[in-house]
Amino acid sequence: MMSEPKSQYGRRSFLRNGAIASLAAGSGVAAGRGLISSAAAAGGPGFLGQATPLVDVVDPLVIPSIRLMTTDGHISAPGRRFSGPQPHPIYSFGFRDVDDQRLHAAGGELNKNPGDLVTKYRGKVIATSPTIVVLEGEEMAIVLTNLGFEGRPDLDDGHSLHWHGFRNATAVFDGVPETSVAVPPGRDLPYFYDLKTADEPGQTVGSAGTYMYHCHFEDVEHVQMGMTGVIFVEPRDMYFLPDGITPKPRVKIAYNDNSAGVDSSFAREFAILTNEIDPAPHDNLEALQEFVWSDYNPKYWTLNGRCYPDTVIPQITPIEQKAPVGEFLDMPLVPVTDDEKAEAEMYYQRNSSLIQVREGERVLLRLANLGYEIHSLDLVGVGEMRVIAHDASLLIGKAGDNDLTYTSRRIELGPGEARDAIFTVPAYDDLNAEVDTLAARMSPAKARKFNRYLLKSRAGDRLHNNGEVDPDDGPSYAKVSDTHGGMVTEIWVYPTLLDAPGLGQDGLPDQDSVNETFPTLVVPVGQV
Amino acid sequence: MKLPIRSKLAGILSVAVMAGGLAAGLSSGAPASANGGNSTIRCETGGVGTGGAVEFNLEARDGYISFPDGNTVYTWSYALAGAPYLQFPGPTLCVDEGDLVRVNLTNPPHGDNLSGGIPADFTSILFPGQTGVTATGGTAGLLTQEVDAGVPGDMVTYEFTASAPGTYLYESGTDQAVQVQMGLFGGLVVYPSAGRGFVYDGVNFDTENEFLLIFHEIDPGLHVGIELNSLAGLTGDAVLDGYDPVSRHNRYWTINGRSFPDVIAPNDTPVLPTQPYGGLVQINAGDPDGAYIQLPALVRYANAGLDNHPFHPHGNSLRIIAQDARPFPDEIEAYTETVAAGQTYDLLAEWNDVEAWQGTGAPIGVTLPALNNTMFKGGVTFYSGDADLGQQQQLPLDVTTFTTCGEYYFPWHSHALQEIQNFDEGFGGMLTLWRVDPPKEFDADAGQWLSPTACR
Amino acid sequence: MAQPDGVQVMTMSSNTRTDGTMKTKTTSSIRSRIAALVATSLLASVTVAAATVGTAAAATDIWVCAKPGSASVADPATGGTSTMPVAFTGFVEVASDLDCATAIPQLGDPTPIRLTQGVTYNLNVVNQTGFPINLTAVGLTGAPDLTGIADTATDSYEVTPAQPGTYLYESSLDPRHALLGLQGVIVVDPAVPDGTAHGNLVSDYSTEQVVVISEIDLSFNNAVDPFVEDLRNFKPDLYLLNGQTHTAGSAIPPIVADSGERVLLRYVNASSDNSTMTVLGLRQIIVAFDGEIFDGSGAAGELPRNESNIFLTAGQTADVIVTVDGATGDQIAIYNRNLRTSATDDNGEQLLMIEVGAVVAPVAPDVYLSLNNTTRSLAGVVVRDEDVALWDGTTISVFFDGESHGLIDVAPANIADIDAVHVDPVSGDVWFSLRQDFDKPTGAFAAEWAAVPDVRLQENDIFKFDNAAGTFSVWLDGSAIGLSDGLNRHDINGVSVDPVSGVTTFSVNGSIITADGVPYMTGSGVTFGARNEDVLRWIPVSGAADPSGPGQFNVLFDGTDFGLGVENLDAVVISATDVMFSLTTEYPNIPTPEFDRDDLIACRGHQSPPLGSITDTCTAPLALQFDADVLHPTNAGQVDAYSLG
Repeated sequence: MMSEPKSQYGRRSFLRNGAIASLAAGSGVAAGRGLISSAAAAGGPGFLGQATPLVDVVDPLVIPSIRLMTTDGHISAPGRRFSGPQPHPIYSFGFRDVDDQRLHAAGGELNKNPGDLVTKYRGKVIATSPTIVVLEGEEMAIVLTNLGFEGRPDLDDGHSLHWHGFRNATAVFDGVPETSVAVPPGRDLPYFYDLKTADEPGQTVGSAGTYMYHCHFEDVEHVQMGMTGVIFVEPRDMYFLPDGITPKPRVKIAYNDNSAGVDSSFAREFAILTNEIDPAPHDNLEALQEFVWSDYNPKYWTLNGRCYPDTVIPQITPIEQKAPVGEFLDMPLVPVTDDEKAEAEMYYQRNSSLIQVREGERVLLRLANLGYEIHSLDLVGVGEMRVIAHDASLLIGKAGDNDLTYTSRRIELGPGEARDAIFTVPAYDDLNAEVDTLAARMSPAKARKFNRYLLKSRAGDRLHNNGEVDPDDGPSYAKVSDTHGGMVTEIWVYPTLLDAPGLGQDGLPDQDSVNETFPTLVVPVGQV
Repeated sequence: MKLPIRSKLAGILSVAVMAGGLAAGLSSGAPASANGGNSTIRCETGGVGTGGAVEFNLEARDGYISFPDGNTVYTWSYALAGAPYLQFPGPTLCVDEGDLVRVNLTNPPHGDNLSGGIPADFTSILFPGQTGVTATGGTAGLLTQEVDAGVPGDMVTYEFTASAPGTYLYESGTDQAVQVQMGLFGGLVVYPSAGRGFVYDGVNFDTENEFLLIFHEIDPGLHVGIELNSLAGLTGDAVLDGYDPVSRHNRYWTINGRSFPDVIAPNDTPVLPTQPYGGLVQINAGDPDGAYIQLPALVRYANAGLDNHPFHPHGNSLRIIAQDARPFPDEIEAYTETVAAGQTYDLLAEWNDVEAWQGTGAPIGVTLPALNNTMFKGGVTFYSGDADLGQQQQLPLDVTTFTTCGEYYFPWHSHALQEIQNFDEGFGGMLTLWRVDPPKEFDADAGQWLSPTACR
Repeated sequence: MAQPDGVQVMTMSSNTRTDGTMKTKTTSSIRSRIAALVATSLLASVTVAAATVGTAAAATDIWVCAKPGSASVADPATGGTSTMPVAFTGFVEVASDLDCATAIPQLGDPTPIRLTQGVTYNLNVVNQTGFPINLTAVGLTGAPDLTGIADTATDSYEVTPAQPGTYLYESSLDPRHALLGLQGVIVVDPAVPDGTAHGNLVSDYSTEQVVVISEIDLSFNNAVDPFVEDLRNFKPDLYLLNGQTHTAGSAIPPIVADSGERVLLRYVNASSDNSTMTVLGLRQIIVAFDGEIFDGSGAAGELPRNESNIFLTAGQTADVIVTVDGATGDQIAIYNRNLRTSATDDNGEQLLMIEVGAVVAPVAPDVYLSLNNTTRSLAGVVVRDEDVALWDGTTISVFFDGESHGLIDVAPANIADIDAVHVDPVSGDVWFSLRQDFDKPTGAFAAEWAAVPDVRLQENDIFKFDNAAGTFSVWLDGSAIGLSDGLNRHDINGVSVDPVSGVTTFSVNGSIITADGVPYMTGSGVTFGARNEDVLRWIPVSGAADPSGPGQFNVLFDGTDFGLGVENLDAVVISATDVMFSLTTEYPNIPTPEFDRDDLIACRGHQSPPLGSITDTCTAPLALQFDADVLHPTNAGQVDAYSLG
């Protein structure tokens, strides 16, 4: 029934050929490709975003997968708020993840068919889309589900998923409608990715590194509407010994050990996607109007989909995905204080750009740009960063033994480019420290202090929000919101945890997942 | 948002197919250019001048170029002396390391049918990146000697020794902000002493796969202003009346003078008489398990525009080996490279079948839905209908495919996405395709490794 | 991080950054701030590298005024025949705050504030702008000052530059300040002034020019109140280099340089957009971006980049060397290839010229040499083989007298003969190796040699004579880096040293392939057999701090690419662009004996094999750098070490 599959070598390929072939033969699935049945493919447990990386489940027949749903909705920017005198949030498209990740057996949403998900999630886009963390050496699938548009039911736009930078991709999983297929409303399409390690046949480098993903259906429109996100691959040496199979306790590194001696270890990591927003196409689309894309003229500049001062609002997570460890602050169902109202505006823009670090730590910045302009971010006051990788490729030359990394105080990102850089946090200076009013809201005991630095764009004519800078429109704990808007975020440097009694210092906890902030805001129960 | 690409895409391509251009070009049967195989770089070979110089005779010409949205734009460009009309971009000049290169420039009389010389008082050529360039004849200009339109038959001779191999541009040195934007530029390639199978000594590539991609952007409004002034008989500075560089607003973005989908039509397609150079990048996949060692393709980027352009290939990361014709001390790999105005890059491109996609029965890890549960854009596609490399499969009846042998196509485009437009039409502008044919097979009767027959 | 002979860089206090920049200012007055500084240092939890010069040196005051100004810029629309007023607010350096009243700020002023690496400064800012401002120089001024200096107030920022280079400073309190013109340039010179931008060979220059790239939106700058202008309409329509426009009728002041000169261009992109600077007809060698060195001295980092068009993002600076090549009166254009212009009849306003002055034959550098196992009277001056002689083109003199430092021949076991030398003409320091082992001098000379551990000076070591201190130390311990195969040590017979990066370039006497032909040396993952006609580099990981420490080899110059096989290199000199060597025999390949045994031969524009290539290249045939016949007419093989001034 099955012709002899092309012979392949390497540990996992044998596993996959042998195992899957038997499954197909056993379960009578249509002959020909020896494929995993769709139920198994879509049903594998997989946790999205920054909580934990995808892991192989015990049963090798099932590969880990994530569901991403495409839909529309609105996002908030200074002057374009959900609440307030003239509510006018910005109409957007985007991918979003399911909140309830539980297994098929327990009735979780990972394995529901598209129809069931429409009522709950259509019109409730998240932009920028969730940061996906996966592990080198794994095989995985992202199931793309098109829920259709709530704001524009007349549009039968398809969607696709393009993993920007995937090596030796195949056309059908490259996600370009014109060179393969797209997903019509109400349908699913599983995208398969085999995250090769450097030692597999035909490979020169492994898959570890920082990439991006975005829709490629009428890409100029869908990317600008918000269908963008960061995906990065953790190196095999992070979880496994050099044999690649024997597990070991997690070691925080961005790239595998290399003979060029490049040190990619870090204590904390932050993934930041730069972009711009031209409100005209968003408003035109919402009002059933055309837009001439060569008239593109942005008025907002964003980090992870937020404009300063919203960029320093903490990371937001649904209650179902709340990590077991960390500091949390529940978002009230009805916000009362000004800060709670500002934080509620960011309800659909869950990725924060606040960088909270401890003195002396090594901090990894995963920077990527899916805007249409070249952006340059200055690290103000923290000394220089060492740029270790361009476009998910460690700077160690062809033979892998030549350290080409360089130091710089500014990172330049052309559209579609990514950089990984590491900086060492300067010493804490108590004289100029400020009280952490955000932490104090968790409990008076957490009255810790920090020094404030900036990571911001240097383009003076773009550091505003649609022409304005309104200090009252945003969180109180942002410092320079009376003069700055746009592509700015803050770096808060805390002291090393002082054990000396009496100081009552409750230091900054260790970071467990990318972009984790302290506290992390938790979406109220029942909210999507 | 449905964009009316269907009629347009099918139109241009079917015309080209009808003219036997595209299909032949796509199936790369007949070598499309001097460098053979899939190469779209077309080297203009110069004559032998006094002193053994490689000599080219160029003219500054005006005329019209056309875009996929049906618009035509009045343009200035270089052409080989005596050519029937201009060619945009200018002729690609290829020389070898150590050659004495001599370029003679004239500006023929400006005819009233806008197919003669350019209506500018002066014009010239610069060779950025070359050292020791001498210019004789004409009158002294700001940056070099210039051809004076007021002196009939005026000619300037530029000479230099091509001392360093690599990818270069040549462009006008007179009123550059106007004349370079109007189109006065072209590619210049210097091959190393090791020969034309090398880009630098010691760095070889598959000579069947050599591609030069020249980027540029056009504001049609500025060109129309000059066209109307010229038609009204104005010349010299007067022809620039109303030309306000500060208000420049680009509407077209080009690779080798064409916008997608014209970019993937082959060289010299009769549909585009004044835009001879195509930009389709076509290679054979490498097979890690196979015996044949597939050398990488060589792609030369050259940004002749006034703006910086970030260029991104789908399908694989690229190995960047040189910038501005100087090799890096070591390779840098990247999946997007910002090419600043005037810069050139040399890159090695390969695609390896690491997942054994080609061949029947290789599992692809997931179940693809039936094709009627998926969506094709505009009724035409560059998809073979099958996930495997080298396999064709029946598509829904209302969908026509341009694939012939199950080859993969990957877009290769500027990631400033407003630049992949033809004025207001999507999937156009500064975009080309990367075609990956299945790995070469040993053809017994031909006694050599060739592309699968269906791909030839 | 201390330079071998530089001023200490770090001070002992809690508010020093790991990158050496000092903490920023506080809002309180200077006196209380100094008290606070003393207080915090008591709580110092983080100590940085030991200070070699006592406590914090007294800071040098720099005074800068911020005040409104008005520039008159040549108007491109009229071809420069008329000028137009541009209102702006700018910085200007003054001798003291008293001069602020009369000081006049220049738009896009290229004259930099000059600081020296490792020295502590107080940047005192007098604010006469009418609104609160701050002073931010990314990489110099430490944590951002987010409160600012009130109008009419004065305050200071304490800065100790750790890294030489070019910096942009501006007020970053409000993004509009930079657009208004509140910007300036700071140049940090190396701790030891040696005619270089970064204290390394590749940044050696003789003429320098700051090139400030900026843009003005006339309606914004000339508005009654720029702070209420809508930034969405900000669109520059005037493009400047050093605050001026190039037009048909007006030129930006040119750079005057002679042909053959190395000109240092310090690009500063002070605009909010990107720019791509090109020099027509000359290659640009980038030696630093934003002060980060590109000279291969990092852990085998990138060698200097050789480009035509240099892409600068908003706010970026670049230090670039061009070697002028032209006839007297030639004009070489430097311009922004993004060709931004508001007029039609020229090549864009951002263009300035290098005017080629005299075509000056480069002055032959001084020649330092050591004799080979002989004593000679050269033009009446007695030179011994343990001395280093100096030939300045007309006379010979003894620059380093071996005997005066205890290198006294006592046959047969103690014959001192220097067979490899490198001299730093600025500091007078001498690096050398001996032809054979020699007892370490004792008695009256013991103090000078105290820092040398072994009692027997070995032939595979390189010693350093610190001219200022008058003492000797071991710069490179040959045995520590593998220059011995257990049986015998490999005599170093040619050396050139980069004191900043700690990289040692040398040649050895005899091949380093072990008896069984197995290549002996491993370096950067590649094993190779080096022979006596090759030039090797030892790149230590921790740089000049530990030149003998862990590092890696690589082959800089492969003699076989130049037909050398049996011949032995017995002198090595490295310059910014060339590799020079001398041989123990006549040069084999050229029939007519153009190169004698003692001549210094130059490979101009040497390139180690670039990517994938296998052969070294020079941009010209081998040339004669120094003809030894000047000293002695015969081809006697009497010189065995060279260094150039």
